[in-house]
Order: sequence, then C-alpha cells, then structure tokens
Amino acid sequence: MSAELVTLAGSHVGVDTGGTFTDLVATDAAGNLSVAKTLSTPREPALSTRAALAKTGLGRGQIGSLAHGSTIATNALIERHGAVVGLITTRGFTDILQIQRVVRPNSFDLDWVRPEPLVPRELTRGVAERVGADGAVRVPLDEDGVRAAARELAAAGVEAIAISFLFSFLEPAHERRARELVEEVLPAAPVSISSEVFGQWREYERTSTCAIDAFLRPAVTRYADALREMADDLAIGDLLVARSNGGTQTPEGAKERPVSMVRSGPACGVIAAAEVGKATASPNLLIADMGGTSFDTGIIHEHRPQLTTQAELDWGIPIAVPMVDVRSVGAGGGSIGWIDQAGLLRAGPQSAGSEPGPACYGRGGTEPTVTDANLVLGRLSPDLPLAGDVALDVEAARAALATLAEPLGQSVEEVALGLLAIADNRMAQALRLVSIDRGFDPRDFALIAFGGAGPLHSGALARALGVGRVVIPVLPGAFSAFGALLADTRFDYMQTFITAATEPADRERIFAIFAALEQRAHDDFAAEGIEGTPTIARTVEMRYAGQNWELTVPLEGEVGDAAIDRARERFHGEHDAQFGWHDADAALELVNFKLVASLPRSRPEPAPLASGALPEPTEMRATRFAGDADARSIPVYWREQLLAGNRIEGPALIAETTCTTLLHPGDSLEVDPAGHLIVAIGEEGGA
Amino acid sequence: MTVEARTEAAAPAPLATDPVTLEVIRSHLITTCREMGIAMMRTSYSPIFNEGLDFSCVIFDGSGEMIAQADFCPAMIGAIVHVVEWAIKEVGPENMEPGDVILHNDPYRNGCHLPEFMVLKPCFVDGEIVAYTANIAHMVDIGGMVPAAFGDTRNIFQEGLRLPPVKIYRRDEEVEDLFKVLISNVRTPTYAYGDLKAMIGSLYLAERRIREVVERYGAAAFRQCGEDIKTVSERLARAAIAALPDGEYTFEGAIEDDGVDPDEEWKIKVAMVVRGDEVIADYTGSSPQSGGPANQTWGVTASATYAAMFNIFGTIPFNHGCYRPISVIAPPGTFVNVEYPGSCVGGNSDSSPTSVDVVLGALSEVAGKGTASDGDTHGILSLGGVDPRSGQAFAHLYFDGFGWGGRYSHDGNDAQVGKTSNCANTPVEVLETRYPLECVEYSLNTDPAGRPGAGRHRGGFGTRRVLRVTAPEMIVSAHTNRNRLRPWGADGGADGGNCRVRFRRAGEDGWGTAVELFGRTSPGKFSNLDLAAGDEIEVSLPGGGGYGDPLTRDPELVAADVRHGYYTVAEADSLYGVVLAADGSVDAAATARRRGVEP
Repeated sequence: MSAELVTLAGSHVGVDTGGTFTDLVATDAAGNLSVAKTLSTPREPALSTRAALAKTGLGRGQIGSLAHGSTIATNALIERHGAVVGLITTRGFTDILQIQRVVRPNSFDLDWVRPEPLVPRELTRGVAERVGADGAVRVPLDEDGVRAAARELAAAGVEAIAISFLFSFLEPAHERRARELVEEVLPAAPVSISSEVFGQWREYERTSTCAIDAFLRPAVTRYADALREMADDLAIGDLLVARSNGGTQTPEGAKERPVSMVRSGPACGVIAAAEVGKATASPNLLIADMGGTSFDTGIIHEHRPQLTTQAELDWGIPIAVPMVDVRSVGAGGGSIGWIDQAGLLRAGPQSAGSEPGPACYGRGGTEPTVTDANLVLGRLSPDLPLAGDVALDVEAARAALATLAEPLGQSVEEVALGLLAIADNRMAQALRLVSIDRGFDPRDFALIAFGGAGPLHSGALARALGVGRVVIPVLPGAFSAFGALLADTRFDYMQTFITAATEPADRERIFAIFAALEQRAHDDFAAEGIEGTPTIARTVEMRYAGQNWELTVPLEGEVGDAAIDRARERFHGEHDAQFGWHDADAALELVNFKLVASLPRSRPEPAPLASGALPEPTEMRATRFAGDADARSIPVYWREQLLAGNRIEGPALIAETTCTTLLHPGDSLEVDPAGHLIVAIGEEGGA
Repeated sequence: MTVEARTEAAAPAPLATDPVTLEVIRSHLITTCREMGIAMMRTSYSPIFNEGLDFSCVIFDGSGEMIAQADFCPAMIGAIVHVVEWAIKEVGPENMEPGDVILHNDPYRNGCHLPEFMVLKPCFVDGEIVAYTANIAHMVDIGGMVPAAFGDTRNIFQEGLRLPPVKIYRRDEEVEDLFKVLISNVRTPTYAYGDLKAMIGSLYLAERRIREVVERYGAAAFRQCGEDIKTVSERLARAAIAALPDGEYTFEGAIEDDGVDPDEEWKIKVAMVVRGDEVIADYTGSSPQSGGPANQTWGVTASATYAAMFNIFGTIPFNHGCYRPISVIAPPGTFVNVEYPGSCVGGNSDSSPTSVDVVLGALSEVAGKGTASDGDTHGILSLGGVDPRSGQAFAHLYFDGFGWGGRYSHDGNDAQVGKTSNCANTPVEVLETRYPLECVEYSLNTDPAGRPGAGRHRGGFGTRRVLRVTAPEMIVSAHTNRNRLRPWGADGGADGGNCRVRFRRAGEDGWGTAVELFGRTSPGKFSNLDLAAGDEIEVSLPGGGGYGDPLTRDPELVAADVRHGYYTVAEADSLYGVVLAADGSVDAAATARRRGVEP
C-alpha cells in the first residue's frame, strides 16, 4: 500500500472521535480545508466516522489517506471493559499487582479504598526462573512450569496472557521463550511480554503496563477490524491510527501493541500544535486545550512535544508507555462554581458536562458554570449555539449565577468575573506545573489555545503566566482531527543499560544497543509496509551516580565516542538549568538509551489566505472586564471574513462557528498568511 | 487545665482578603511546595527520598506559622510545625540574614528523631522576613552505633549525630566547617552531601516562587492572605470538632518489647476531651519512658494526634490554623514524651502508628468512622556494609507495608504504611541494583500467624519479603513491633496478625529469630547481627484487626476471599460461617443455617 504514499491523489482526512463529538478535517489536493462534525458513537467509532465522511460528500475512491484518533483504549480502561487477563511472573512475586507501591492519594482519608488490581490473584502464576541485577541468568526458565501455568490459566477462562519477569529489561530471553511456550499450548490466546511493552526498570510499573496491554486487546482488535472494513468499503488508500506517542501506525500494528493507543486523542492536539509552532516560528509552546469538561495542557520545546512514561489508569495503577505528556485538570466550560464550607468561591472540578450542560444550554442544568459566566459578561454571543442548534439563554445563566452572588453579597457580573478568575488560576497553575516540572520558565514560551473554550481564556492565562504571545490556530474547535491529519508515522524504542560509559567495552555495548534499536525500527517500518528511510533521533537518560531519576539529553550526530562525550558535557548544564546546581566532578551514569524513528506522511500545504483590508465588525457588544464599573461596547469580527495581514486592537471579540477568541484591552492581533491569529499581550488589562 | 466551653457561636467575620486573591495565592503556595518535593525527588541520592518520598515540604509565614504544605509524609508535617517554630525561636529572626539556611535534627528540641533533618530558609523582601521555606527529610545514615540508625539503642549517643538549630549556609555560602563535621560522622558521606544539597536546592526554588507572588501582590497583602488562609482552616477544624458530642473519650494500646525487656509492655493511654469546638489529647497515665528506642518525643505524639484528628476531619487545607483547636498534654519522662538522654529513634517510625490508632480508638466510633487497629509495624531493617560490586560503603533503611484495620465502611486496605506516613516501597529491581541483596520473595502475608483479623469488614493483608545477602558480610539491625501483641479488632472483629523477623543461615534449612539463632534478647529489636553471603532474612508484616462480627460478613466477599486464596473452604466455615458449594459459590441455605439465621 505504501509505495503510493507520497504520490497519492485524492483527499487526506484526519478524524478525532472524542467523548461527545467526532471531528473531521479534510484537505483536497489544492490544500483547501474542510471540516465536519457529528455526534460520537463511543463503542463503535467507525460508525460516527462513516457519518462524518458522508457529510463531507467524499465517496468511494476519493480518499487518499485517513488517519484516525480515538478514545477507544482510554474508554476501555476507564470502564474496565477488556479481556480476562492471566499473568505469568517470576515465582515468589505473584502478588506484584496486589501490593502496588504502598502509597495513597490523600494522607488523611479513612474511607479510601484501593482500586482493584487488573488481574485477580487466582489468575496469576509464578514459574521458576531468575535474572539478576547484572542481567545474568541465575535460575533457568522452568519450561514445563510455563506450559502448566498456561494450561491452568486457560482452564480458568483467561482470554489474554501477560508475561512479566524480574529484570527482563536487561535480559528478555526468558520472557520470549515463555511466550513461545504459551503459544504452543494456547495458539489462540494473545500474549504480551513486559520487555517489549515497556523495557525499563521498576517491576511493578512494567508489569502493570504489560497487563494493561493484554487487557486492551479485544477492544483494540474490534476497533482496528471495523476501521479496516470501512477502509475497504470506501477504497481508502492509506489507513492509519493515532498513537499515544503522537505518531501513527496501521490498525494492524495497533492490534500488536494495544497499549500504544492509550490517550492518543489528546496527543493529536499536541502534534497539531507542534506543526502550527513551525508555521508561526514558535519553537516553545504552552498548550491550552480547553473543552467542556477538562483542560488539557502540555508543552512543546524547541518544536518537540514532550513525552512521558508516567501516567495512571487509577491511583496506583501505572501505564508506562511513551506518550505525549498531556495533563488534564477538571476545568472547562462546564466547570461548576460553588461556595465551600469556609465561604470561599470555588470553580470545579465538578462539571455539568454536555448533559445537562451549563444553565444557559437550557437543557435542565441549573448550576452556574464557567460558560454561564462568559455569557453574562458578554464574551459569548447568545446567537452562536455551542451545543447543537439551541440559542444560549442569558436569563438562565444569570439566574444560576445569582445563587452564588446572593450569599457572597456581590452582583452577578462580579461573581462571574470572580468565577472566571478562579478557573483561570486553576488552569494557569496546571500550565505552570507542566513547564516547571521540566525546568522551563513559562515566560520563555508562547501560548497556543484551542478547544471550544481555549481562545476565550487564553488572554487571562497568558497574563497570569507572564506570557507575551498567544497563537490561536485555524480550526481551533477541531484541532485534534487536524493533528491526526498531520501526524508522522512514528515508533519509540528504549533499552536500559546502566553504565558510567568510561570503559571502551561499555562504549561498544552502547553502540551495539543503538544499532539493535535502529534495526528494530527498520523491521517495524517494513512490517507496516512503509517504504522510505525513517528519520532517527537518539537520546540518553543520565544522572549523577547515586541519583535515582534521570534527565534526558539528546545524542547528536553519528553514534560514537564524540557524541557520548558531548552528551555527558550537556548533562551538567541541563541539571543546573533544572535544579539550580551541578557537579562537574561527580561520576555520571547513563541509564536508558532511546531511539525515535519517524517518517513524515504526505501532507498537502494549506492554501494561503488572501490578504486585504480589515472587514467591518459584524456587531458591537456590551462586555465587561475586571475592574470595569460598567460594560463597554466592543467590536465583534467574524473570523471567516478576516484576511492575511489584518490587525485588530483589543478589546475585541473574534467569533467563528465553534469558538470565540477574546482580545483584552491592550492586546493586539494579527492574522498570519496561513490564517492563524497571533496575539501580542498588552501591558495592561485585567482578566 | 481548664477549657472554656463556647456556648454561642458568633457568625464568622468576613475575611480581609477577597476570595479570589485568597484562592490564587493559596494554590500558588501549594504548587510551590509540590515543586520543592519534585526537585528533591529528582535530585536526591537515597532511595528513601527518591523512591520512598520520605520527606515533607512547607511554607511558613513571617510570624513563624505554617501556611502551605505538599502532601508527602504526614508524620513530618505534624512535627515540622513544632520543629520550625523551635528553630526560629532559638536562632531568632533578628539573627537571620538573607541567604542563611538553618539545619536542625534534635529530638529534644521539638524534633521527631535524629534521622529527621530539617532545613529552613528565611525569605527576605525589602529587608523583612515575609516567609520561611522549609523541608524535613529522612537521612539514611547519621553515624551512631547502627548503620541506617534503627536497632536496640539505649540512649541518644548511640543513635548518632545530634544538631541543635545551626546555620549550614550563611549569606548563600556553605558553612564549610559544619559540612566537614557532618560528613565526617556518617557512613555514606556522598549520599549525605547529595541529599542535603537536594533539600537546600529546593528551598531556593521555593523562595523564588514566593518572591514572585509577593512582588505581584505586595508584602502586606501576602501577610494578610497568610492570616486568612489559617483562619479558614481553623474555622473548618473547629466546625469538625464541634460536630463531635462533648465528652471525655479514653482508649489505650500498648507497645511490647522495647529491645531491652522483651516481656514488658508500654501503655499509650489517651483521654480525648471534647469541649465545644476544641479538643485536648491528654496522655496522662501512659507508661514511664522505656530504656529502649521505641519512645516517642513530644513532637511525635503531637503529630500522631494531629494525624488521627485529620483522619476524622477528612480533607481540609492543612496549615497552622488546623492545630489551634487541638492541645496535647504529654507528661515528660513518659513513653509519649521522652526526656534526654532517652533513646527514641523508633518512636517516630514504628510507635506512632499505634499512637494514631489509640486516638482513633477513642474517637472514631463517636465520629461515625469506627475502625480496628492497623498492622502498625513497618518491619524496619537497617542494613549496612560494603558493596563488593563498587567497593563503597552502603547503608539502607528497609520498610514495607502492613495491613490496615477493617473499618465501618470497608475492609482494611492491603499493604499500606501507617496513617502518619505516606511513603512508597522500594521496587525489587531498585533494591537489587543499589544494594548487595537478592529478593527471593515479595508477597502478601497470608500465613495464619500474620494474616488479618476476621470481621464483617476484615483487616487488610501485610507484606512478606525474603532477602538474601549477596555481599561477603552484612550488618543487619531491626526495629519492629507486634511480634507478640496483635493489632486489636473492633466492634466484634478479631485481632490481626503478628510480625515476624527470621533468619536462615546459608546452607541450612531451618528459620530462626534473632533470639534463637543469634542469642539476642528480643526477636523484634536488635543491633548489628553479622550475616554472610547466602544468609536470608524474612520480614512478614501483620494484617490489621477485623471490624464487626465475622458472622455478618457478606458471604459473597468470603467466597471471593477463598477464590483469591486468602482462606480455605474450611476456614470460610469456621471463621465466617459461610458454606461454599463444590464450584466455590455460596450455598445460601446452608450458610443461613450455619449462621443460625432464617434463610
């Protein structure tokens, strides 16, 4: 299929199936963008995808490629709806998923109940085998023990098997052999092994991830098969699905690596942000993706999305796969304002969601939300429906906010401004943590805002963080679908080898590790049917000998002594930048060797926007800002009428079908040639 | 002692800070404490920091009261309030300069025990101290007679290096003399230096964040906000206490075997006196202090009291205001307020869980949150020697999770640390990479001697580890409780299990305790056993007590327990009166007959 990849004709389509809506973005050969939106069908994402395609009129044979982002894996985990998994592990360690890491989420909560482990005790078997901390085999694998375990688990009704042995990240031979043995006994049962799912130290995190991989197989298989059937029906050229690492793979590849699908939806938004960053000369971006119920944040540094392997299904149940670092806080348009026991105004994390939704939706919601606050302050147009075709009800919003205003002794407008300030502060703190966690100062970043509510709040967030520049991209309301369209095919690999890298023999082993990882990359691209030479990027995770957590340092240039020396040199500087100290004399340890292989997909350049004079505002609207005694009348522009080079001075509103951008007093906006809005944040102006 | 009953509740006065600014500054400060913790985790050297997270980070206001904390290790949070107060008072704010850092670990100066090092930095703006940043963390080795500190010590001099509040930085410069003294007195100087740098580095980070917020809002507004933050929490704490019926509620528990006198018991006795919106914890009547290391300092007893009270309150923003309505009376010279030069290294780590359970025992039923005792011993081992792979000296503090007690609402959680701490276990792969040990087994402790007590809501299971020595020689010490007494059940539930620390010499079959194999006085507390390559150590931790009559436990939960391998079919019958069919399902009719109720 892929020989045609770079020359393929027809439209290219990106799809994001979210919890409520399925968004679709298509580009034709001339680079013209079109969008479609339908209600999601969460259990059968192929159905809403077909419906969205039908809206675009793209028929059989007209689609060159389709890339699909979904919440299928995330939902299966949240609902605990997956395979019955059996776990085979090292004898003596069968309670690994029961013991977990001993910590609890809140120090003072007598009522807390630990989440159920994914695999119950009776579906776990230990077999004799042992690899030591040096990677040497201490106890050979008991092959009959593996066969017996597989038979017992099959008799107990398991549908998938996870194999996780101690120190398999150093020596995976036992896990691989055990997989062969299980497959001999149970040819139909899919098997996941921990050294392939997550080849890194800390046995609990690795085993948990391996069990989740096995658990997700049925849901991911059904999803992949349904997408493939759709692609066959519509004669779609290339079919790809989004991965948690921000890349794509074929549906067949996803079936091999189910855990690689977790949180792939939000990852697409970050990929799109990185692309817009390149187009707008913004190498460092803070991401503000604000929707109805949650606020997703992440960062892009020097055009690269940041990845993490620290995520959790429930408290204490880790999913450790490379994923784009997207963190969510419960702050969205639907976040509910409330007064706590101490009489303080709070915002969220409870949300009115999309059903019943904010009071102004008129669907039975009575609690005051962030969206209601925006509406009564004149920042949203009552005529511009957010949820279907119902006009927004300003009186309902006022009535809901009055329930807060009365006990606080404030006016409805005052309480609306207060609610927004508190919600904005929550989001700003989340942005501060994602950047500072990695040692970055948010003031060195631009902010990119998308999602239905992001551009309405970005001015306030930028002020709270000291950020001077905000980017509102094209299609902010369907941005993740845009990201699916843009994502590269990408694989991440990693090998642990703890070494000072001072001896020639250790250096040779490092070179051999990178050569082996690169070979795996070429094999995987070949298995995906992709021709062309992938771009390879290598990094090393290092620490001072004795420390326990690592910093990632790029390994630039050819693999060799010089590159390793440069990386060691660079580590001291990174440590100083992040933690305020370094020790040039201390011994270093190189711990994890990582390789990323990616290949860009064919992507038509978006057609440039025509330039011209600034259109007239479509209306003037009464709007309030913090510190205003009275509402002021500000112009509202319709985004689709704006032309390249247009400049607008704040205060102003820019409305479009699925989103509104708020320009504070003192801000100025310019429309760039691709249609992105670039905002310079002014000195003055409150929230 | 007199307590004025408050007969009328005045309407709360409005706060001076507007609610929006208050929430903004409050969450800024909490985020800052979290940042401090993240920096310590990522830059420190000892696994007890970077895997165990055995530290706490706080911000105090200019008046020396806590206004923000990040939730790492609550035992330290309770104690740090008094440690910081003492240090500020003893040094005196007038003697502090910008760039000073104060170090303190003295248990008799409101501290917890010697390993708990506290560092404190005044934050100056325009010549005035607007805040203090501080953290407290567990240093693995502090000199003394036992590598990694925990054994059967009998006085403070055996426990290690004691430091009253002293300056370790002056005007941003290391006080080299003090560093020299410090690292000359510990077994693992590289770790000690690295961990201290991580602690101090995070203070600087936090100070920058505080400056940002003071610059933005002004020092006066920041000060007022600190007052209001405390007022809000004080109101919540008082409201929670006022919801308890007035009265005097007593309870007692005991710690057995202090390592010196294995047959003796030391009583922790409390009268919780609830009057209106205040509470007094009066420990009068507790046993005299013991000759061994299980004594609690006043700071430990106070912080265990706070932890128990906060468990009853639920979640409220944690700062100085929460403490104001709670008073603690602990007579000097007792097990709960050790006097110089009494030993106390184990009181903070392993007696305080029982201390918490005693307070919960007094109040939890009254508060509508009844609970049985937790397993209450972390199975602390101190391991030391030279790692043959590196030739370097090492010291490791080992602890693990025990089972919590059954409670009014649910079974006890499995494998948890005590309610005064919230630290993580050390992964097998980290343990074996860092130390010359091999882990042979890591499991839930289902042995009938150690498993939890039966109950309508049974206790949770503790953990069991078996470690094998891989160095030619290794020194092993221990501080454990519950080797003889069992965690109590409540409301008709059965008592929980026992702790067990045993050894097996290389090439031999039989397991034996430190008494049996090494001729020591106590099986649970001992110092400096000499082990050799191939010797094995077993640490089995207790399950918690049960809550409620076992015959009222949901039969389906009993069937699940049998399925999980926690009980045999015969035990389902004998302990719970539940009869299971051949396929493992509940025989409802037979169970009802067995339990003597109508089906």
